Amino acid sequence: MPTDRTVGTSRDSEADLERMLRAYFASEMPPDLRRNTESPQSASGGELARRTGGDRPRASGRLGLTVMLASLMLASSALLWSPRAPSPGKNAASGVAGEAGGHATDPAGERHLPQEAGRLHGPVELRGRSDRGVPVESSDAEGRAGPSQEFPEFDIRIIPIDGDR
Amino acid sequence: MAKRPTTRWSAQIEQIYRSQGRELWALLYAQCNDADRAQDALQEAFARLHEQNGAPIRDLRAWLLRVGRNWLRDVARRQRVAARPVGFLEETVGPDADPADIAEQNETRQRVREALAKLKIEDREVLVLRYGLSWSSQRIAEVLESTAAAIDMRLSRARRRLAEILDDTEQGHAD
Repeated sequence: MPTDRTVGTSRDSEADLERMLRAYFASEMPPDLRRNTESPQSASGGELARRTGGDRPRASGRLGLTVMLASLMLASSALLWSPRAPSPGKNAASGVAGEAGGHATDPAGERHLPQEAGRLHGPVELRGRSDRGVPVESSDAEGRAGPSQEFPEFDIRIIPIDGDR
Repeated sequence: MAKRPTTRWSAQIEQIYRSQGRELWALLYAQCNDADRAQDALQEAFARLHEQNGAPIRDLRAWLLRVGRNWLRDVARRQRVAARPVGFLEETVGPDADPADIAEQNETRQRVREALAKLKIEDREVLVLRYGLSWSSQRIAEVLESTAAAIDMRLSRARRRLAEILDDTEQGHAD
């Protein structure tokens, strides 16, 4: 708490006034609330609402990252294989990259589902990524084989929002 | 007969208190300009919340604030608060502090309190949220449903008024 001199003659500057107010309010704050250190997520009702939404923003960020990675995989596959550079698509059944007029397969004939990397709250969870890559062979519409590549595999699950989770 | 609040509900309330207590205290404090009374109002609001025992409340923060403010109004109606004695600074300056320093700081504190009491509630609100909780103008604006620019203006006005009041007080003392 500044002394009377701070309040008095040297309280000409705004900085002094601000310092005095900080000290004053700090001393006024009840001890149990004083210990409750400010966190970026604390306090307002709007923020409480966001808090109850859990990690939704982070989940959205992960979804965005996943989409970006999938796009990169598609783009690199298309660039490596086809000089015609057809528009990329996604083989929904296999979940691996493919291209228009062609198809992509997992030669092993099985999916290497990753271990669950942990449980995250939110509408979308990126459960994990397999340690080994998934070999993907591409071929065009005429059945010509393209280069084989290994891609990391992701397991994305859509989880309904549930406050108890 | 009312059901007894569950342990889970009590734990939830504690969590709410941790996350919202500071802000609610600051807003209640701005209304009454008395730290202890604001704390009492806050406790009252949370005690009432405890009695709700998990009954749904649409806007919890607004509900708590309303209960706290109503309690402050009721108390103000019932009694006029005598000026609180100012010999309570020992906890902040320590038991070994020079009595002259304590007296000086008490006087300063009392003058700041009196100056704040002369401000409008909305001026005290922005001051306590900025300097008590160190909030940005943007965050204050969210809570007070305003804009950051308007909060900056209000802050500037509140500081100016407070400085004027302190100057007047000082001149009064000098005379």
